[in-house]
Amino acid sequence: MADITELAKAHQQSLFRYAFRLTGQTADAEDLVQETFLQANRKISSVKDLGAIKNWLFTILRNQHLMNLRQRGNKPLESIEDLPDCAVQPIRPEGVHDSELLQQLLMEMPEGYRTPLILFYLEDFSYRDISEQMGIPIGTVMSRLARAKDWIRARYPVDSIMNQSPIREER
Amino acid sequence: MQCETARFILELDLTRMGEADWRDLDAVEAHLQDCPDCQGWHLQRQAAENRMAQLMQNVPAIRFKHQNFQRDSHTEGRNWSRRLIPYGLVVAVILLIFSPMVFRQPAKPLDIELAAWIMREGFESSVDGPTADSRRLELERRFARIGVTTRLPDALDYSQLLFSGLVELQGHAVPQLVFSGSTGDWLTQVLVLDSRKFDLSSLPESIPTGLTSSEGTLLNADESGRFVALVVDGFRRKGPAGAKAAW
Repeated sequence: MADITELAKAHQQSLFRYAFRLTGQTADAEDLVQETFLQANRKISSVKDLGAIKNWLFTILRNQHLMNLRQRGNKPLESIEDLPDCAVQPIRPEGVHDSELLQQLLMEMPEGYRTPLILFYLEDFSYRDISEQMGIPIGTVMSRLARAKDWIRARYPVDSIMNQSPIREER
Repeated sequence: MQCETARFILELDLTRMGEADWRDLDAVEAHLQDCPDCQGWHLQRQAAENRMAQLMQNVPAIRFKHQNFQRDSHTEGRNWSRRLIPYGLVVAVILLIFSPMVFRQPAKPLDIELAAWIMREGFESSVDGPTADSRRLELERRFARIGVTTRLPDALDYSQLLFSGLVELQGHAVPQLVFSGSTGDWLTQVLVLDSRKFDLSSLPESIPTGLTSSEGTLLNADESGRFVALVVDGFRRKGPAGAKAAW
């Protein structure tokens, strides 16, 4: 049986990055990771496939996040088309750090599109992994990813900043 | 193959399909070699994807370390971090006043002995034991089992492997291998970096290591160039932490 402390050592950083991109807040992300490991500790005896343990932890974290959203009365947008059709301005606003701008855009995106995009870029998850974590077909993952990428590229000047200096370390 | 078809397949990122059908990829590879336009388009797209992945991973550092979750599960405090905020602010102000160096934390020294925690079971050292190559595959499998995808260089002699584990570098879990050398305490330490997580062009000039100071070399760990091994040779460091290897 997997040991929860070892799991925490191995996965807390990547789970925190996921939680931060989902919530946009450091304190919320830390709470989410904490709640994830507490839940994992309660259910760890039921884990049979150690190879899928990372997927399992990420699934717990997302479910907890969705539950938190529901408890706060946040009604998530269903579709990317629900977003107001603001003027597309693919230029970084002055004084806004790349990572912050990316986070702002992620928070505008419906959860069903934001999650696969984060999982795709943040960790090396396959479409199948994402599909299992979200409980949706692989085809839906691929189409949501494609639309989310198009949406974010239209608003985020990733190509124009490619030759700029490396990312500033946030502390 | 038409350019449009090749680009469509590349946009689909079939390598992320897991158990997908890879037949089309050979044709795409062949097309890329013959078509400079598509080759340029592909390189630009890959660079943009890598940049997006790096930005996505650029988040503030987590503020708590390994908790004892078995103990914590019996306590009531779920939102403990919020309750600690006022105390944390007071401590932060004191630290700001008296020790600005706190916010310029040096890279964490790589503790070789602690790094072995993840893979305690060793390989059988018998004549009929696993071959060096099967050891390499077994190591990759073990890393995968704990959720760390990596490709280990096949140019190393895995029959000389002493131990393996994870170390933390720039907030990422990095596979580490330590091999015995030809004499005494001489060791070879290998860190395998994923270019999707590290900007290899901006690696620091020196990285803390558990070995005495010596020159390091870079080695491509796989054909795609995604994984790069940092190899450093030296004697096991016995003094205080802080020895560095220059790359």
